[in-house]
This record gives sequence, C-alpha cells and structure tokens, in this order.
Amino acid sequence: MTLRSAHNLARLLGCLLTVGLCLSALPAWAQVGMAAPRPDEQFDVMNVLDEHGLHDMDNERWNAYGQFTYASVWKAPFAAAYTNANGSNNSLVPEAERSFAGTFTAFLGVRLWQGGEAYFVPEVIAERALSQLRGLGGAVQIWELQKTGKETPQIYRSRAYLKQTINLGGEREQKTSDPMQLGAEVDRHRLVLVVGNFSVLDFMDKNTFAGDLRRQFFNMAFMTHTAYDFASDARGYSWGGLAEFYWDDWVLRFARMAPPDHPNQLELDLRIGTYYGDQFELEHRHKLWGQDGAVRLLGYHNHLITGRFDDAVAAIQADPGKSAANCTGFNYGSTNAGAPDLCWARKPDDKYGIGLNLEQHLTDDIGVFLRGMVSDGQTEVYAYTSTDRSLSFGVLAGGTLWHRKNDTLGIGANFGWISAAHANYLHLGGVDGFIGDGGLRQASEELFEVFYSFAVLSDVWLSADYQFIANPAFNADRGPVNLFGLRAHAEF
Amino acid sequence: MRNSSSIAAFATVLLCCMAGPASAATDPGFLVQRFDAAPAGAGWLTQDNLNLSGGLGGAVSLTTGYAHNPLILHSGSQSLSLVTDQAHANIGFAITYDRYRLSFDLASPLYVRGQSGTLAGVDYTAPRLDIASHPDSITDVRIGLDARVFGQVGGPLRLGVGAQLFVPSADQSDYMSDGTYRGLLRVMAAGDIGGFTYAAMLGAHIRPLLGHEMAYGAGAGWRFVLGEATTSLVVGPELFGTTQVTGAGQTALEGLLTGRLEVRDHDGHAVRVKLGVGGGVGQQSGAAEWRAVVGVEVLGLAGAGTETAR
Repeated sequence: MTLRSAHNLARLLGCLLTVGLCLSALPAWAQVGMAAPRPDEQFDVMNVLDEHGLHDMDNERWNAYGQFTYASVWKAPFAAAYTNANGSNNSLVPEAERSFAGTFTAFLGVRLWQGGEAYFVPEVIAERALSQLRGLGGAVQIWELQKTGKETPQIYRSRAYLKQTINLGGEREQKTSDPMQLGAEVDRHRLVLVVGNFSVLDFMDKNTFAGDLRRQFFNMAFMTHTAYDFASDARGYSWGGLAEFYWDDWVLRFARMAPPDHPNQLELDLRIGTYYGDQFELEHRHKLWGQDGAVRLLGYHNHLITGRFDDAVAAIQADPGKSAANCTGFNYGSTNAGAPDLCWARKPDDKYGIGLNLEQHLTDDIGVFLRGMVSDGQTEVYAYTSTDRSLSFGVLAGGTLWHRKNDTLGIGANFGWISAAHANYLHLGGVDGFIGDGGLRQASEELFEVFYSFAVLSDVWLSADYQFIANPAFNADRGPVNLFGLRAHAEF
Repeated sequence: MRNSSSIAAFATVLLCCMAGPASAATDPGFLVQRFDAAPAGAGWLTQDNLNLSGGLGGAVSLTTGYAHNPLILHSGSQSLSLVTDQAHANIGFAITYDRYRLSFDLASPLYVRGQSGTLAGVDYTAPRLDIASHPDSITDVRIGLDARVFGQVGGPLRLGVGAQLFVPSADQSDYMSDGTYRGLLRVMAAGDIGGFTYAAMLGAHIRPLLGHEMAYGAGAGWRFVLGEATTSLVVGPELFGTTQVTGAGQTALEGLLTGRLEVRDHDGHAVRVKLGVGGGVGQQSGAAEWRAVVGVEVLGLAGAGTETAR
C-alpha cells in the first residue's frame, strides 16, 4: 500500500467511524439492509395471498416473487496521462459516458417432497457498461454490469437448482418466505444440499449490509470481496453443488462449481472433477451488546487452465514473438506488439484466497460491515475482478431518525490492490480480462460511495448515488473518476 | 424417411426468407422445435384437459425430451440432416382461477447437434449447443391465457379458447427461434366419458418468418384407477402438427404414445408423471424422426385440474 493510499484509507476510516458513531448514538427502530428477506408489511403477491387465507407463508408449497431494477450512472470526463497505450485495449476511456443496467427477475420456488425444494429464476437484462466493462479493477459502477448483457433486453435462466434439507434435531426455527426460500420450520441442526445452476454468492459471503446491491450500494465492489475470483460464467452463475451444515449459531459451507471454459466467458467447462472452483466458509452468528452480528471466514481454491503473470513475462523475454499482438490462443484482443500476454502462459494451475466478512448492527436501524480478502495474485482473473487483495467497509442507516423508516443512507469504501507480479505484467503493457492501459504506475484502486434510497412506496425505491474512484485499474497515471447515479427499484 | 422430392419446397421457403443473392446465401436459421409442451397442469403432454375450476390454483411442470433428426432438408437426390439431435427441458408454471389459466413456459436447450452443408445453393451451419456452451439459455418464452368457456370439469364435453404469445429469445442461427414474435390462437375441446378421456385443439399459428400455419392436435386415452381413487393411469395416443397456409404448404405431424400416472394426496395436491414416445407421421418438415418425452407436473393448489379429484 502506498503512502497516499494509506492516507486516504485513514481519512475514510475516520470519516466512516465518525458517521457511524453519530448515527449509532441516535434512537432507531427498524432494521436496515435486510435486502433479500421481504418484511411482512411489504406489499407483494405472497403477502396478499396470505392475508386473504389463500396461502400459508409459514409452511409453503410454493412461492413467487419478482423485482425490477433500472440504474444509470454517468461518468464525468477525467484526466489520463495515456489511454490504451501502444495497442493495449483495456482502458477506461476518459471521455464522458453513461452506463445503465435494467433487470426484471422472477423468483419461483416449489416444494417437491419433504425437505425437497426446486427453484427457478429467469431474468431479463439490458445493459451498457462504461468502456465495455474495461478499465476498472474491481470498482464496477453498477454491479449488474458484470452480467455482460446487451442493450437489447435478453432473457436467460439465472438459476435452476434443487435443494434438500435434512433435519438433524435441535431447536426449531422458522425460515421466512423470501425469494429463493420457501417458508418452513426447520431444525437448527441440519444439513442442506444444493445441486444445479446457481451463483455461489446465493449461499456464501452474504452480508446484511453489503449484499443485495439492488437496494444498497450501486458498485460491484460491495457485492462480495473483489479479490474473490469465484468460479462462474460471465454472468456470475455456474453449475455445481453445495453443502451447508447448520449447528445452532454455526454454519459450515462447502461448494464446488464449474469454471468458465475460457477466462470471463459465458461458456462453462463442465469437467468439474478436473477443473473447478472450491470454496469453504465458516459462519458464526452472534449478539454483541444485544445486537445481531456475524463473522464469516471464506477460503477458495480454483484449479483451472489459467495464465501466470510471471510466465507470460518470461515467455516474451525468451521469445519476443510471443507478444500480445501475436496470440494464437484465447486472448483479449490487445495489439501491443511489445507486451506480454497471458495467452502464452495458460496451463493447469491453481489460485487461492482467504477472506473475512463481518457485519454488526450498532442499533436496530444502523449497521456496519467489513470485508477483506487476500488472493495469491499470481494468476489472471478468471471470473470476477482483476483485484488480488481487497478491503471494503461501510455503514448503512435506516431513515427512522428523519421519519423515513424505509429510506436508507449508505456510505462505503473499497480498496483494491494487485500483486507485484500482476503489476509488472501490466507495467509491461499486458492486459487481463478487464484492465491493462499499456503502462502502469502502481497504486491501489480506491472507491468511495455514498447513496440515498428514497422509499416512494413500501416496496418501490428511488436512489441517488455518488462514486469517487481513484487510480482506476490500479494506475496512478489515470483518474480520479467521478460517477453520478440514479436507480429505480421495485419488488413484488 | 422423408420423401426427398418434396422437401425442396421447404428449402425454397427458406431461400425466400433470406436477403441477398441466393448464390452466396447463408441460412439465418429458424425455429425447428415442433413440440410445444402443454401448459403446466393441463394433463396431457401436448393437449389441454380444460379441467379449470375452483379458486386460486397453480401448477408447475418440468418436461424434458429428445428428438432425433427433427430437421432433414432435401433437394433432388441430396439431403442434409441439419439438426440430428435435439434435447430440451421446459419449465412451465401456471396460475388458475375459476375457469381461467395464465401460463408461462420457458425452454432451455440441453443438447443440440447437426450436420452443416450446402443445399440448393444455401449454406447451412448446424447448431451446436449444450449446457456448457449455453449454460443459461432460454429459447422463445411462451405466455398463454386459456379459458374454459363451456362444460363442466369431468363432463363429456368442455370447450375452451386460448391465446399464446411467443417472445423471441434464443439465437435464430442456433435453429432455436424464428427471431420474431409468434402467436397462437386456438379453440380446444376435452371431455371424459366413463374411463374414456380425450382432448383436441385447432388453432392459427401466426408465424411471420416461414409462413402462417394451421395448428392442430388431439389426444385420447383410457383412465385406469389404481388401488384407491387417489391414483390413476391414463394411456393413449396424442397427435400434434401444423400445416402452412401461406408459403410452401408444408405439413409437420407427429404422434406420441403417452401414459401418465397421477397421484393425489389427501389435501388435493397432485403429482403427474408423464411419458411419451413416438415420431413423425409421413413426410414432414421439422417433425422428428422419433421423439421421447418425460414430464412431471406438481399441482400445488386445489382447483388446478386433477383428474382424480373430480
């Protein structure tokens, strides 16, 4: 971490701490950030049916929920010493741009037999990313842009999976009726098995205050660790299996997912016994000063056909013909004849990472979160972001204080770093899946975001957002970038 | 096997649909799939039992199938098996109220293969899809609205009307979509006379790309009550097909021998398991040489039309 980024980090930490303390000292009543669960008072189809005696939300045979979100972010022009230098092609362009993402999703669940559930989630998406999703290391301005849609709406199946719950005793607890969760009473000691098409983030690395980015922050940096290169296709989903073992306040999870056939592409490599992404998570839920909180330890190991940065550099040093411009295998289209390229380095290899995820209610209405992860940083981004190490934190506050209990104010920051090997590769003009300006003056990519969600109705929100990104793509020669966003979101 | 002398007309239809000179033409693709699964809860594999009654109800279904050689093109003595293997999975769900049903059907290709080639001066590129290459694809989405307009559930004659809208979604070049909106307007009949049960439909398939079609189908079978009245087995044939009323006048007709087992629990919820095996009848375009289909339906709420609940 450079002196400058350390200074910025300290400044942001101080700012957030001050805001958090100020807000936490105030009376508050309602929960915030509980984005995925649907409160009983919310207007949606299932609540209406339940109120009319046509449905039992505590013991569901089926449920159906939906959501609509449209977000637009404007990027102001910014300064850059160079852009796409020498034929490299992954810069964020310095001119003004607008990006958007619109999604419509149906969440359908049905109980097949005792403990057996099936879920099916079709989604329509239309989107336009800034600079074709290039030039940002992890701080992508709208999280849904990682789904690589087109400006013309497309429908796709985001999830189709089976889930089996095996009760093992202990006290009983009620699972609420929510998207991708049937209302049911289950044991607090239980084994849950999942198989099919889903995102590993549906079950792992969840966080009450930085998880559902349709209601909360705009930026993808708050969805999970930006250094978590979880195996998935270009949209963030994959095929695989997951097991959860619940034991009172503890949960142990393991998942194996299929990786993409080529880095960051939609096609999957289903040879899941040979190439895979494994992850484990240990979660503990607790009460601190009477308020709910959770700690999650997450580790992952990918075994893939991937490129090592040092190998790509060694290849061009040994043979100048092995440059980005001469790739014969899968590559990202750089024409930089003097730059190394990962296309010359791909072979079966491994990637590792470990991270910590904390969330804590300070009051019923205010919560804080923190995520930090370290990946080994020796191989290319395969599915998520170019970041090798990441730290994010922030605070969310409900609007009870100002008599707008369904409103939410959020302030957060994300810092991303790359390894020395990764930086050297980029410095020499190399590109990976998302970044590569043709040169690099290494720095941490820093994001500061503040948003306010205004509840127009009980389940319709309009949000305004500001994002500040320093050193886009970890390059101190470019930026900073100012982004301004608006979002409409409805649930039903 | 197809009658080779008549399929050239089908290629001609394709050529007519393409822009540009025929000498350099490449086929843009079109929807090959001729099997449209019945709406969730409709009982039959392709037909509708019109057992729509009661309060708010719902059903979900999973139908998966395989078709062999669903599209062989012929021109003179030449032929091209453009699509040789086609496996799919349909997920359907329906909401019913009184005599009305709103249904959705989303199909995903599981495995599609074929042979590329040139026929009558047109280059055809065979589709190549599977779960790995298309992990999240959904082909044309079907939205349907049906109503029982005459007769009673369990009676000898029920009549219904329905409309379906097909929203293009899949890639035309994969032979999974016409790339345009399509529609189906239809009238339906169904009934039960003792153990005999039947269903039929006649409709207009509005298909701008290849020419509008008359769509039709029928199914008939015998219901065997197994053990207690909560379990029944229906066995019988189903036919379904289309005939172009504009364009080349091609007919695609398939038959399936079907059986379905239905088990109902004491709350009136039911599960149906359906099986069908058959193939194209006579000369067709887009009808499979042979086809096997397996379906499962879960009828989650009362009033969704369970035969044994009558």
